[in-house]
Amino acid sequence: MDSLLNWTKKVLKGGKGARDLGLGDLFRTFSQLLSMNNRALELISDASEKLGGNYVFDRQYIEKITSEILDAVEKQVILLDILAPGKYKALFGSFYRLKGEIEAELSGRPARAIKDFILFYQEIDRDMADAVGGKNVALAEIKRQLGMNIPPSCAVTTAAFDAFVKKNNLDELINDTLSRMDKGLISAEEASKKIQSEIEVSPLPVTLQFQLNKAALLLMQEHPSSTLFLAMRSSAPEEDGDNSLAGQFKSLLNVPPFFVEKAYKIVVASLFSKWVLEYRRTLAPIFRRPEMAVVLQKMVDAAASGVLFTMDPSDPCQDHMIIRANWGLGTTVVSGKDKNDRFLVSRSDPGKIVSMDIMQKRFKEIPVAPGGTKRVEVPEELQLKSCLSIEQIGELGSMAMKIERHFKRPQDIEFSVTGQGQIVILQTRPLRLNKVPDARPVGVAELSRKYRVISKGRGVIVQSGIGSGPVYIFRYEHDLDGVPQGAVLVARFPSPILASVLSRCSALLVESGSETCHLAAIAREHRIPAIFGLTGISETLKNGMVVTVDAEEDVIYEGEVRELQFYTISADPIEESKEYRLLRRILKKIEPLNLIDPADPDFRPEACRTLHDIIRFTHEKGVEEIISHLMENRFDASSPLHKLVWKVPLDLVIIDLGGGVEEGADADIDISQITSLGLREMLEALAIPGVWSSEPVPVDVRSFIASITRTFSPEISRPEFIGQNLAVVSRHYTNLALRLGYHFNMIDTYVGDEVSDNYIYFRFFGGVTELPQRRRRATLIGMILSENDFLVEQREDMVIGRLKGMTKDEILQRLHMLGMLVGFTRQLDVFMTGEKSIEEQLENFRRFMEVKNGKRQQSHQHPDSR
Amino acid sequence: MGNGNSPTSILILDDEPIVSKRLKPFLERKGYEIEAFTDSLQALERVKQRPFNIIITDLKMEGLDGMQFLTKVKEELSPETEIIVITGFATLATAKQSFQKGVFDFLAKPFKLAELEEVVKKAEMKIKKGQQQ
Repeated sequence: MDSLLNWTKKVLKGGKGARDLGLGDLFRTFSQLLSMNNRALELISDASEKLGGNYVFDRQYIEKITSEILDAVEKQVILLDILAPGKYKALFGSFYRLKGEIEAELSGRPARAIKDFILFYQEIDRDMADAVGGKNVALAEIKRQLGMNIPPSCAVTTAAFDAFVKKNNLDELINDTLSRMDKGLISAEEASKKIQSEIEVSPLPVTLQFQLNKAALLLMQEHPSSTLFLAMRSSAPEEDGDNSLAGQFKSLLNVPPFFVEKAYKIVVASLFSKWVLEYRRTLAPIFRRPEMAVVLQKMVDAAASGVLFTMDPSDPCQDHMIIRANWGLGTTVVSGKDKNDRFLVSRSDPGKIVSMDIMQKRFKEIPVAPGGTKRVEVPEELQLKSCLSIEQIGELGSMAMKIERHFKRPQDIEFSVTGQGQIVILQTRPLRLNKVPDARPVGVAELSRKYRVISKGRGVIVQSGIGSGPVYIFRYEHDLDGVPQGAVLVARFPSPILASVLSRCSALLVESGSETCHLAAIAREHRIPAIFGLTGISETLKNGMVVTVDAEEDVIYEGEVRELQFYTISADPIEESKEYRLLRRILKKIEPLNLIDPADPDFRPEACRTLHDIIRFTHEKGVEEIISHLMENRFDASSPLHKLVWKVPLDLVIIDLGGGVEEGADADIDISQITSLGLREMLEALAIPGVWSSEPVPVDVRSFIASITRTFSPEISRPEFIGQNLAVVSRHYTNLALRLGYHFNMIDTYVGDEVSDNYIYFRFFGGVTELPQRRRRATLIGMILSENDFLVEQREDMVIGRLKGMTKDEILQRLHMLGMLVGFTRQLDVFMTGEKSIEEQLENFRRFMEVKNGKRQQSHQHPDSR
Repeated sequence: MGNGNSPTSILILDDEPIVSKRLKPFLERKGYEIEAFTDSLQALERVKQRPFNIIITDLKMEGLDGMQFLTKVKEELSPETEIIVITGFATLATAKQSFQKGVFDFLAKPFKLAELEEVVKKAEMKIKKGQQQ
């Protein structure tokens, strides 16, 4: 904090009051704000790129990058406050709240990010395993991502466990007992008894009692029944990890609501069973403090139930999965005491039954009226009948393979089939294999002898992993309905509309685009193996042909490479490691942008929900503030304010920070008086005949254009400058903010001799048409930027392009292109009525560049050359 | 690699488990023989038992730090082993010092898998050349 104070003083040169900032201080502050803005955005995209699996990073990196981002954003907030003292006070509140939350994530335990005792599944995502345990997360994902049936459920969090432990001072007892056990003073059995009996007599905190009962009653209201109550299952964060505690904790079936508190304690106490403590003693060092979350779910009216292993644990190389099932509840299957039906189903053709063993099933377990379950005899005519129909077995098989593919691990799945024949997934967790199949992963050299290599080392890996399936080549928007489950989706452009079908694909191949575009972020979010930048791949591949995408090595093979399928599901997915989860959770508070339109009444400090929102807000307001400051001494001889008088009706005001406009120039200047390298280049491009008004604009739109070169923002303090097109320049620096036709375009650039200083930041969003058309225009712009070496990010109708580390000439070439792009895309969204238009307009722009650039040579005179 | 066709052996040492977790399967698929450690003393014990062609190590670690570890390996246990240092920016200056100890190369974390592979291949070439002479 001290260093921050010093820093602020330095910005203000001796800490003078902000109100009497001289022009010099004002500009210095403003350009610092701009540079912090760029720095923060760059750091964010650096962090987000790391999630694709292509990098090696550690916790140290997460800590470092997070603190750098926080630092840059904090400075921005302070700088804005220097420009407009006290005006956006609430921004400090938003920032420090987010900073607190992010730091709590980093520090892990002490300040738990999730404080709720109960979470319903719509609130749970996959990065919350620490709070709700793997089982809850898996069920929530199965429902949301795969659309499968699960019982009405909610999670009792580890925060609830913490509160329970804290209220009864159980930590002390647990630590004490465990350490005595470790020293060999008491046996595991004694330790277990001591802790468990204490848990049983300890009362739950009142809030937890209340919330638990409320949740139970809510769940009971779904499909009310006189015999069906609740199930409680353990969901310990460490249960489904690398160790073999899976399945060692208690689950209770058909718990009536009045018994929920007691049942909760029984499940929690199973964390300290004799067996678990023995295990903990031998492997003690790898454990952190024991803790538990619980699954609370409504019982299913089960005609039959069972367990499915997606692989044979003792012989994983076999191409089958195993289903065991019985009538009634699954207890008789899990306990292993009773005979039950056994089905083997093909893995490679999940609808196909390999074998059926129908046993005589004499007993089943059913839920009963006061609560609990009862063992009853199976009616004789059903004893020798298969408890699952052929269709149900096939359906289960395909569901299981989807689940396995989604979690990238072999799965141990519990299910029920209702009286109506509907399959419901009760829980799923990683299956432990007794025999690990060929621990040594297969190399490319070996595989390429056996399978035909279609492409190798040609693209950019956006999300690592392995996927195979039939090729589906995407061309037009309406094609999307036809994308089959498990397809390898192939597209020419990283169109954001592909996001909607990505979760059902096994891999994604795109001809253009990069790690930073929007679709790449979605592929990472869904962990879909993805390779971008594969020029011509949509021509090479044919619809329906089966390929295997190895997005670890950047190889595409013809056919299904089973050796690799195996490798990918038997290895622990790196994306599920603690570091990946932590970085994802932190980025959720940093990266998403919610504040887009400055004209929106919600464009205010209190509405900033992420650091990106704050970055966006300070930038917008910073520009606004500098304009209004400068308005106080407008257009007199000493003023740095100039108005461009030009044949192109751009209506541009230029603020010269020094060296950007010819010395001694009047308030009104013409283009020849502009000495700012970047601005001059862009304006020259716009001045090429036909660039500004190239498109065939319908007549009634002409007047429209005149009116919309000025748009409005209700918050801006000076009505005369509403929506003013503005350039803030020095010799080497340009910040050009354009509001044309209801879209907002900002170009921020530095052009100098030092390669490492040079950059271009480009942002574009909005438009006058409906979102799909605006989105298409943004996609088109993104592709054009991409072709010109920009790193591109797109969200809905907003596109951001960044570029750096280029020579002065290279930067100027790009700025020239941007000038043309500004002219070309002005009204373009109006014409972008189909997905196909993206491709057409891209072609148009290429032609446009070619034709007009011929004229560049003639009309272009570099400011430097005069 | 010492004799004929046996694969190049690599020891990875980093106290953050995620590093080995990512590197081990990646390098194994490339045909290398990998042993991974998070504890420098255990790694040192292992080097005493058997030599490795290449060691990939972090510098900043609890207990015996990476610099001490690689000094011991280079000066006492196995001078012919090529060492690649992987470290965060904070210790980059130290990393440069490590060249004096005869370190082959260093990489700043975070790095791309392909970058590491490149360095490993170069180290392998150097070893091969040395053997031919």
